[in-house]
Amino acid sequence: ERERLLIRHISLRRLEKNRKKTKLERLLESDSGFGETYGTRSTRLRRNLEMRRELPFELVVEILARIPVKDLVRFRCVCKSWRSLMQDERFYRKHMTHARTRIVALRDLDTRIPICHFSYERGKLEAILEALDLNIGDTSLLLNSFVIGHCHGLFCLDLRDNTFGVWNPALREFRRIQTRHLNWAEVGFGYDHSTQDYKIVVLVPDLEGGCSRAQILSSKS
Amino acid sequence: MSKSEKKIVLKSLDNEAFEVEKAVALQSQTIWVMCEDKCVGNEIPLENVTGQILAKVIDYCKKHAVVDGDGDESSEELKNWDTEFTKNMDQSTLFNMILAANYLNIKSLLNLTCQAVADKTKTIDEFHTFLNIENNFTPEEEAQICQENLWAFDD
Repeated sequence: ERERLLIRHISLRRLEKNRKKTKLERLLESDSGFGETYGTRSTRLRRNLEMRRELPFELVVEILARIPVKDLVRFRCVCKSWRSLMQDERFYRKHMTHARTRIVALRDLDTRIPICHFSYERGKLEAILEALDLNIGDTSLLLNSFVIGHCHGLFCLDLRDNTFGVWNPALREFRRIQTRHLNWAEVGFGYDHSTQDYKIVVLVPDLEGGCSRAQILSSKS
Repeated sequence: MSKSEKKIVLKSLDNEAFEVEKAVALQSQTIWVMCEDKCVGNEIPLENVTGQILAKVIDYCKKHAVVDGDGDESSEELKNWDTEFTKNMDQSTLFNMILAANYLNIKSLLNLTCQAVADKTKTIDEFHTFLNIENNFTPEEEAQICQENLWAFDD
């Protein structure tokens, strides 16, 4: 039901926008027939419109790389090429070098998970923005979890039920990763440059108590 | 170096000429390469930049040529100057400044202007008009994406 309303709302908004557009076009057309002043005005308008088409995509990317994450998530529905851009690893990395908001790990003793994010501008810590609502179905799972490590703003959590969670607080995305080992000795989380993937390494103890095997879990799978 | 060698003339698309210190102009990598190659004389034609925009670019370069290399206090002042510089620019000026900074290859100016657009443009509609982007999603697809990311839409 909610979705149907949303679709209706979007369609209406588009109709409205198209009406405005045709009004501008009509203005352009009616102008060109008139005297010199009107003529120059219309060419100026038209030139403005044409010039706007010319911003190369790489420069659009430069602008987008400086937009806060929350706004970017909304801009996913601007057009198809933007959407695929925002699924691109390279764009994530570019965004990380420019973005002003950094996730700062804050471990609250009661919840054991990082819950706040800070905005910092020009090297100065500004304020706690918000306690993130987690957007994860079962929060009780998270409440018992431990942070294994974090890397590039991603957090790897041990969910205490033989699964790991990779959590991106900025995008509020969460992915669970299964392991077949119940008792692991050590675990680590990091980024593998050769495959451009975030990986969890699990060391599994053998019967004598030493660590003999390692399992590597990819966050892509 | 004689006095004339220290100065350089930049000529805009609409034939406006600007005489500037070489040190000011060389902040542009594009001009720097042109001068290195000695492929131009003392007058450099810039075919992609109008006089109105070029004047602003030169203002920026002058300011940054003077302050670069000074202490911390001036760098704070420079940042404030940068903020003021872009604050009152309208969208179309900013748009052309980005193009100019890109063509002239002035990294810090490109950074500044892109950041300014990013700060000023907040809604999807603003982006559609500013960049003249066609929304090529069907309403159903758009609604679907909105649904998936509802948290980002509440303010």
